[in-house]
Amino acid sequence: MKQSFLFLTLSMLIITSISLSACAGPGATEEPQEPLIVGTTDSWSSFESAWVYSFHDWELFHQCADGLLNTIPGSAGEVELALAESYEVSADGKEYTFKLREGVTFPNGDALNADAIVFSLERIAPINEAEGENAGFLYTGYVEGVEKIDDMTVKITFLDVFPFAPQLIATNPWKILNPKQWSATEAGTENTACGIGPYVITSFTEGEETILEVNETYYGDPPKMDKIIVRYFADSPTMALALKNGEIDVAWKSLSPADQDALTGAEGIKTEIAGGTEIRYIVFNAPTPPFDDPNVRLGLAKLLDREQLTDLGWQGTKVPLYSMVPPGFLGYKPTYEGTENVEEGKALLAGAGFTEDNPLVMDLWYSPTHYGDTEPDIATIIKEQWEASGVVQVSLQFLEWAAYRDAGRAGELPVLLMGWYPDYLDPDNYTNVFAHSPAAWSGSYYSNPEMDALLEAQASELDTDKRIEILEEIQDFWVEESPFVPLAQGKLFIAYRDGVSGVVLDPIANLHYFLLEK
Amino acid sequence: MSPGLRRYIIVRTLLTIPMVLILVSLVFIVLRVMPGDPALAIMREGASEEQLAAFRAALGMDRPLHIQYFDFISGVLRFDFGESMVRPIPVTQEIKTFFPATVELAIFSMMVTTGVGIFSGAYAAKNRKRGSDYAIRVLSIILYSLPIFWLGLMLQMTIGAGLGWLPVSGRLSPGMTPDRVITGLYTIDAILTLNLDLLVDALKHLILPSITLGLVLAGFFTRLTRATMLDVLEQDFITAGRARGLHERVLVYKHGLRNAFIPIVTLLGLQFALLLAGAILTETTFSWPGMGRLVVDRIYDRDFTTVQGTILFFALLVAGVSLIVDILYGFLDPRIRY
Repeated sequence: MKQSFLFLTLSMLIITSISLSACAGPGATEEPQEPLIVGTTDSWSSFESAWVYSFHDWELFHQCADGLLNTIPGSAGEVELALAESYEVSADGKEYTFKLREGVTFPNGDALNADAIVFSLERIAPINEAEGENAGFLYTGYVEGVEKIDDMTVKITFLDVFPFAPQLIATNPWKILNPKQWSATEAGTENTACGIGPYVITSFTEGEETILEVNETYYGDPPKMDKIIVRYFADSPTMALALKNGEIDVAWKSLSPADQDALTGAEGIKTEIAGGTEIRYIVFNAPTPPFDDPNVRLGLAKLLDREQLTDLGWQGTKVPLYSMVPPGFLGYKPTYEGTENVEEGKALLAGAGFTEDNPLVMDLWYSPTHYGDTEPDIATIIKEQWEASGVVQVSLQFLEWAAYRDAGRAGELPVLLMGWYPDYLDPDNYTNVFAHSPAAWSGSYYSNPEMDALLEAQASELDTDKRIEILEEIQDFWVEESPFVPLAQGKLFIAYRDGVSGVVLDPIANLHYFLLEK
Repeated sequence: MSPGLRRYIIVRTLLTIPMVLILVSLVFIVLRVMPGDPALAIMREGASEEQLAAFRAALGMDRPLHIQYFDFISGVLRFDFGESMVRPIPVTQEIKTFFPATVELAIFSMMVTTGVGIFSGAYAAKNRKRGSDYAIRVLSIILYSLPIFWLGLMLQMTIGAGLGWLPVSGRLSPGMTPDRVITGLYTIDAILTLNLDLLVDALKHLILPSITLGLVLAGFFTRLTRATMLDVLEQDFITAGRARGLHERVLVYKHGLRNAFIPIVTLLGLQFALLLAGAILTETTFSWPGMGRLVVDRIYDRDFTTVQGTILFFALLVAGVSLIVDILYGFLDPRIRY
């Protein structure tokens, strides 16, 4: 009897509360501005800016912590002054002296000064040591040291001349933190204090949501929305349904091709596409015969049809890429354009001894899930394109990502499909990182002193015009050598509900929450 | 408690220890034999050999395997499951963060399973060989054979996005947070803090995932209850009750069902492991931030410590539930003596 009564009471309570909540209409009292909700399938890994190396963590920091320089929204890596009021570069190009903005404070009221800059940058090395160097290399790999000149001036000395130093300074590990809120030696994995940005993180529940609220003391333009909520999803279909159901306002990274299709043209939903910074390419293990012969590598490159790959394989979610450097970057020259020619490819392969009577028998390796479920299709299309020449026979081979990376890195996979997101937005990160000897991390092991010299020259050339010339020369030479063959450039896709505005997609691939409005 | 029962509990608990130890050792070995270096999975693409080596050293992965194993086991004995490889957070903290969501989902799913499974099974038994019996049996087979993710997706598309009646993802609406996290079970926390809005919101979010997971398991329980009830309903005490003029409903649902409970409760305990496995798929489908999602994410990251810690936790949980069920068995059936 008691149980029945309890059950009845509980049921009544639930039914009443649901009814009451359904009856409660809007406008009974003055409502504050409704938050804007951004959905993502990315996940959080850490709030430690010196260590984290994932898109989402960088994106969160982008909203709540500025650097001395920030990347300009909508640009392909151009930077603007942020916490620095001005800066000067020494004659030898190695020393950057920054004058800080006056009157800038952290959200808790502490003043920004040179000590905060020195603290934020000097803590990167001990954290690298404690946790293993990850994102921190973007500082420690390039910088000799940081020095306080006076209360509002700091000098950063680079190890060498790097024309892309401003782009490095705008990356996540360079964000400026409050010495009173962060440890000088230990990673602040769960520290939500951030730095000085348009928003502050007021709540974080792992796997559920992050709440960002306007930073009332921000020195720059105030954000459009008082509150942004980031909602985490396990998969793309659920996020797409949540957008349709009105549970979120924006569906951001990453919607699958099928969900992109479903949302494009859907009632009440807008979509936008922009070129991203992700590239896909083929890696040849250069020491392995016959791929040690540049003519074989170029011959295979000439047998490709990139349009077919992007339309059929990637279902329009990527565009053909004709240089390792994507369009929009300094010195971009699509040197692979016009190289797709089956007869020329066959001729090059014939020169290396491969004909219809003696075809090139080879394996093509891919990882079936890491780059999305379209990857087996991509490998199959490349196999068909190569085999259509009649002079190549391809066996498709695959390994799960972790094993794939192990084997690839060890140079055990002669030809494999890979992808790349840049560390910093500069052509150096699409060329030097790949082809400069020993090129071990990618599994290529390509080594050519001529290529090394060109790559080093562009990496230390401060004159932009001269650097463009070198970059173009590199891209021409790249075709001849073809140690890596570019295939496609990723596209950024975003879907949002009618009424949302301020969506700016750019190669940074971080959504600028502070520009969003609804 | 009888001496026999006490002895049984002690022996049963002691037997659990080698079982868990073997399981955890297997997980430890399998994770390390499996191809895939966690450093490569976690670190950035262009990391150098030196950077990878520093990362491995920071995690203690450069030590001999047997040292790592004994470290892990000695940690487990102190309820220290180690630190996540993805971030410097203790695995126990990760479990503490994600476990309440799974418990809440499991409880509500079990309510659906028992509610639907047991009562539909009893109803089918009462109406044996009638239309409703056939319908329930067919439906139970369909439910049992439905893939969880498919059922979840259908419910999301129809009741969620289609009709807009219920949310399709998460535990709470965006921005809705408990005033105070006491148990981590939002429904309970809402009641404890007298937050009606939170309670309603949490219940709304629980409905679709609980129905999804609960219904799939309910199919099995419908058939089990029906079969057990048919046996019970043929027993003498039912005939005697009927002869004494007891109302048929009382006879079936009170006396019959109570006696059919023993195998049902036993299997309910055993199905707990299935419930946890099902929760992994349900949590992924509904973006439910529970243990299932944690395990899946960490497997992709090759986060050995979190995966082995979570599996150990699951093993202890299933072993504990089985133990409790075995003990309950004795209480439910007075004929059983230990």
